[in-house]
Amino acid sequence: MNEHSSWRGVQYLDTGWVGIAFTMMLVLFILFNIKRAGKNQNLFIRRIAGLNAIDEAIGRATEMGRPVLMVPGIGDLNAISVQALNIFAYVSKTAARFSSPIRLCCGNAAVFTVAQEIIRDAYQQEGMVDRYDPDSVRFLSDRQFAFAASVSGLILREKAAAAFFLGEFFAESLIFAETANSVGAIQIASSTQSTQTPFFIAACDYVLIGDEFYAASAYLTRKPVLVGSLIGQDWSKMAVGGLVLLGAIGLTVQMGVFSPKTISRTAQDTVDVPTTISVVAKKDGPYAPYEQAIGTTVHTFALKKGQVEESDVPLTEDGQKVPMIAPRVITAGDTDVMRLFKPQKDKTVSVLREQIDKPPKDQIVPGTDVPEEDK
Amino acid sequence: MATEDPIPTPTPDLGTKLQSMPKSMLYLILVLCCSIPLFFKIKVPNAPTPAAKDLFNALNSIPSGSTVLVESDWTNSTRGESGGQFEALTRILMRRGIKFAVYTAADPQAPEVSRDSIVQISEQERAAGEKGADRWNDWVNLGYFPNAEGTANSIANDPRKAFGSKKDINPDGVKSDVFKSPVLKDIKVLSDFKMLIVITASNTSTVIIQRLSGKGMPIGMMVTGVMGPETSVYYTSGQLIGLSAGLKGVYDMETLMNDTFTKPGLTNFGKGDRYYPTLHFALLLLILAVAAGNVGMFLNRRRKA
Amino acid sequence: MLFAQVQKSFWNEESGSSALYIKLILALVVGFATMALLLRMPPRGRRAVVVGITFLSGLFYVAFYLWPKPLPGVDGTGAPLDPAKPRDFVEYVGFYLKDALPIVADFSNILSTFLLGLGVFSIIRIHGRKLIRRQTDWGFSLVLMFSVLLMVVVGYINYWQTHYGPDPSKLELPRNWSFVQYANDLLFNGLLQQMDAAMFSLIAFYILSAAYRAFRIRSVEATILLATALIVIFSLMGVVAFFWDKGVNGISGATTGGIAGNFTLTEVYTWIKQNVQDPSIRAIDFGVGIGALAMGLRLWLSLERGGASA
Repeated sequence: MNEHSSWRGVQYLDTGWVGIAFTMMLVLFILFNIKRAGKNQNLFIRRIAGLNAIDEAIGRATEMGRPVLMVPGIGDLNAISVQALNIFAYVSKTAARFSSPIRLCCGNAAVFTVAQEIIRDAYQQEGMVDRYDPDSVRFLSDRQFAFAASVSGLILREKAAAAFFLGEFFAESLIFAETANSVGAIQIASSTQSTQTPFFIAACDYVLIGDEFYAASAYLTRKPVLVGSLIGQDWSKMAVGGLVLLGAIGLTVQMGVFSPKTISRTAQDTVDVPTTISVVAKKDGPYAPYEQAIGTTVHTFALKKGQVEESDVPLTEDGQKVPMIAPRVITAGDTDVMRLFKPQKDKTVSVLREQIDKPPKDQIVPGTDVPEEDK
Repeated sequence: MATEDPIPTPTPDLGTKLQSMPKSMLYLILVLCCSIPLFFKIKVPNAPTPAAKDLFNALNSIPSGSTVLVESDWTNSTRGESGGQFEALTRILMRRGIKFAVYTAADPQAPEVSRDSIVQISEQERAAGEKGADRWNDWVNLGYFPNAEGTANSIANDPRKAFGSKKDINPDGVKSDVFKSPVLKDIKVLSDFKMLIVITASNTSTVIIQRLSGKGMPIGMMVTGVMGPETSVYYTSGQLIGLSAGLKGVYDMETLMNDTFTKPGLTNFGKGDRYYPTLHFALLLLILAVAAGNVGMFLNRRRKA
Repeated sequence: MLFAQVQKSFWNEESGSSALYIKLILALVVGFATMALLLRMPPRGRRAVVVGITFLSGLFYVAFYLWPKPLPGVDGTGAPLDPAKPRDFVEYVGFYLKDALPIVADFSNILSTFLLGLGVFSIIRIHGRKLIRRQTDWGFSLVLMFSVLLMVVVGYINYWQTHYGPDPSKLELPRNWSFVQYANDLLFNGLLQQMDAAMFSLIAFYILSAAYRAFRIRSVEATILLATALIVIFSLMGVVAFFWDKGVNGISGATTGGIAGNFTLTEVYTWIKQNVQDPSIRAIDFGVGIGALAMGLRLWLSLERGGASA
């Protein structure tokens, strides 16, 4: 590359070209399938119980004369909340046909404005604009728990018969679900936050897990664009799965499945007794204390129970001393030596393994410094 | 004269009773379980998790005098967990003489909450003969940034521009450009921050991983218990240098501090030590409630069989 | 001057300068003119404009993600550059995108702020009407309207005094506080924060009742789930973990090693976490991420014709 190359001084800092190329491949999968689905109308989508229950839930609300509650989460206006609103548009259309009152509660002002438009559109498409009540779409508060309190209050006051919690939910998920449960509402929920899904599963009747949430609009409307996109997503998931599998195989080979070396748990021995182990720092690894080390510089520390001291300050490639690290505590039964100095490169693996598997015998003094309760 | 009920109400059997305990009773027991232990000093033995140890060791390995970035995304609603995490973190940073810049991307209340906490901890540290931390010289408050995604992008892009418009109060009581402070004056690029520690109760954790991971600045996180599982994914993948999750994480940090900072008079234990026994009783109640429901179900099944 | 502007560009001016005010007025005029034009357009033309704007807005972030990024302040040899200047087209675009990012982020912040106004208007409209017509539960609406008003008034006076008052830095210390600062402290720290914390702590009650109601061993899967949950709960209980581990280590005859050593609570929990929990969360996250990518693509390219609800 000559001095005046247009790429001089410019580089991919973020993900490298592999990440970008892979993302582009997923984008192609999705776009290609959207195109393909336009021609083929008979694409299969498996049954999703939660979505089949939508009509049942709205029907029940109609029978009881109580409102249908919808909450699109508390996230910003993004793909998740728009997807939630897409599903709610379907729910609203059904509710409009049954003349069921609806309540759509928003915790974000931007989502609220978009929701107003989408729900009005939904009523318009059903030819029932007269049934649309502008107050049925409400902004309550953009503070998480103030929003949780107002939605709970609304559920209790208006005794919602069906509740849809779809979108980005956080700690407020269980407050909503349990309150709706206490008034006997049928609940269909989904959170893209995997931590909240268990709460919904415990408290709701139907839960869409993970990307079933994104499959919902395709499942409900069967529009070619959406179904095609869903198939593209499946292709993408298979590609990711393949990559994960490839990575696992690669790592297994790297870890030495074909050689007698094993990474053993004897790392614990090296810290239970005073001994010396060599550890290797990775230049660009995530391990801060050793980030100054260049390449595969070997650090030697005397490890003993209690504190670690640097006994032999190693030199970096340019002859600089690696800065002292602060003493750190190693407790009895400590296993994190392996973790902290987790090797990334094959060469360093063997160094680490040898040192950890076979700590210098002469330096091992069993039982030293082991506190009374551990003996 | 007493009137006789023509249809006597059947007394529910034990199985049914166990399966349908009134909510109010469960809630009352929970209130008792959570409050009574707070009045007693109970010392709980503890073995810190490897993730918490990694975080502690990483913090302990940062050279004195360097600067770390702290994203403080918690408010008083999660003070039981996040408050304890933040206190432990600030104590470690102050004792190790590490400068820190605090910013928030989740909640406009958070800067005020974190500032109060830092001032309080600093006073406590000084009372114990430590240096504490002076605003401007040892730490700066960068304030609140709306739009977590955009903020993280800007920081990754160029921290000097991202924080460029921010001012903090210098020792003369004048609001001045934060990059003139001893904390930030040497920060040119992202990797000049020796570490980013995120104390969060919201999904800013995911945003940080997406935008700032792998940019030459190690990231450690202190999250709430509920967020533990999802954040642990990034710890095992190596994107986080360490992780302290929930009340157990707070107590882990305090236990590790107690092993390290042994100077007499220092406060190592705080919220973790105070609340951890309570967590035991609450979890025990949870186990007993689930067990009772299941025993009730089995009794009823046997009766029907 | 209110805030220092670090980077001068077409999109910003010195705070308080007349150029800034001129630009603000011009922006308002252009904004209103565009809006009026959009309203007069036939729906088809309006849609084309919306599609175009959507595409351009998304294009910025796509370009930002894909375009090679300049190293901040460092030249090709690694020597620091100050100020960093582009030397060719690729670098020029890279720098341009990099510099534009905070401005684009500001655009979305400003938009959100305007939309917040619409949200607040919705609250006032619904509750104001309820109050005037004395509809059911109008008392709650009264409390809400009063709280909103009080918080806004106190908040703004306090903001003004602590930012533009005679001696803002003096007000950092509580001993110099006036009535407004005390009122603000009471409303913010004394009420709002405490109520937030109270709402959050309600979750503990709901977790208990939900677990009690739902956690029944009705199938083999539920049994496995319950057993796993028990292990995880125990591992969160320091006392149980400590004595379990100690007991197992006692059986295995050492503090380390041995087959029995694999059955300490810490080991079992770590195994569950690393081999069951983490991979399943990752799988769900992959699915959700790809779903968001697909949704984002459809929105960006306006592939869902007739609006999101069609």
